[in-house]
Amino acid sequence: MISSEQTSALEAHLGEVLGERCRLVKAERMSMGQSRAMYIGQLECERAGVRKVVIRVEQWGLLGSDSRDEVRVMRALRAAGFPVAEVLSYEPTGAVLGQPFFVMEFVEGTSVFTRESLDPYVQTLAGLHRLDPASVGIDFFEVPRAPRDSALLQVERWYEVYRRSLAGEPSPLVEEAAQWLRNNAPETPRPCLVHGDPGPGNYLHEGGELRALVDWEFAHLGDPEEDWAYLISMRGMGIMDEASWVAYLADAVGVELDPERLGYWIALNLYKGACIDQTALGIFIRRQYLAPNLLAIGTCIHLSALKRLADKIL
Amino acid sequence: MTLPVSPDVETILDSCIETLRDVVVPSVEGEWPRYSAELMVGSLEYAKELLRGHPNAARREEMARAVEEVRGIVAVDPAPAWSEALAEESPFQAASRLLVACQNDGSELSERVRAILHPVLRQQLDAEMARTIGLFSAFARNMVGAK
Repeated sequence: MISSEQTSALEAHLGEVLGERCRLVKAERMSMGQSRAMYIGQLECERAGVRKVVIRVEQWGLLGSDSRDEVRVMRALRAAGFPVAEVLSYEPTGAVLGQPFFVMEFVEGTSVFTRESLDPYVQTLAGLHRLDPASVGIDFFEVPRAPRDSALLQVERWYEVYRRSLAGEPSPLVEEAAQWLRNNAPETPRPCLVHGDPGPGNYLHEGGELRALVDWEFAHLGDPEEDWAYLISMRGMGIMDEASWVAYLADAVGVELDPERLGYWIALNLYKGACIDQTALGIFIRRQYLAPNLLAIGTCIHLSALKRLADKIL
Repeated sequence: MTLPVSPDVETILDSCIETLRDVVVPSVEGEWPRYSAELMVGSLEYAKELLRGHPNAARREEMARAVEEVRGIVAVDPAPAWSEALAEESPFQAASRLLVACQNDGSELSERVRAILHPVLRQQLDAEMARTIGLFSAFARNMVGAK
């Protein structure tokens, strides 16, 4: 929770950023989002009056991402006209809340899935994949240069996160899966901007209208099929089966998914999940933060991803 | 005076679980506190499972036995990947390197190595998933979006 001392520091920070004195009258933590502690904050500002914001706080490197690139990609996409919340401030030092954080505008809408919200969502995601990242100033991600780099860079990125955060012995199944993914990496004809965590729960909508895509911490340059595979096999798993998703995406956005390649990208997403979930176990076991959601992510959620991964490729 | 009998740990944990589940969770209004309380129920159920027998030492012994079994069958193959893997002190490190070598080798011998190591690892995975089922259910109930 945000302590009274931190509230004062946050009010001072927001006063500087917003150019007026604001009082944080309420900060309620949301259960949405795991990589960051997310608070809906209600501000009372001298000129703007009552204003709602979202405060997104890092948690000791949980899930292996940082806010710097997340903020940069959000700002670039918003400037390019994509439905992304406005980032009001970014505090990277940890001096205010003990961890880096950023504050963004509150976007009205719900993240609970409805069928009518799906078409505008997948059309926007397909539009993201068609975008030339450099043309909107997204020139800070590592560029996949060789044909198989879109896959290989991700395998090594998450392997590095996994090994760095390891609490105890390595998992032989994770190690074997990493090697399988290296050996079977497909080529990517045209790398693009990938959201990295797309699907229900990570977009806001209201009355059938898409309001914002959220949770950009896993954005990177890569293969668009990585996103479609994540949508199908992770966030969208309870909505349609794989075959129905493939048919729907072909119809809705003209994306033709080859079963073998889709299988690879599903496996890569499960591997990524298994790797990043281990950061939670490390934080919990080292007693840096003893929240029960970290225990869950580091144990049963990791194991669930690992089992699905092993069933798929090993 | 001393107590005639002290309650056992499992009974105290059951009391905490039942109280959290039946009294605390229904009365908590905030989204995050309620989610945390539900996860605490799952955490306590997991803790109870671990109190019945912590698996770390047994897992290590099972893995060490499987690696020793592998040592017997790869002795015929001079490829350095096998001997380097088997030189690892930790059985989990050794199994990791053996399975990576299997992925790169693809021979019939690799299949035999995998046939020894995989069942042990799968059994350990399934057993730990069973211990954490309550925690998993609590976490999954609160996943926003795909409901």
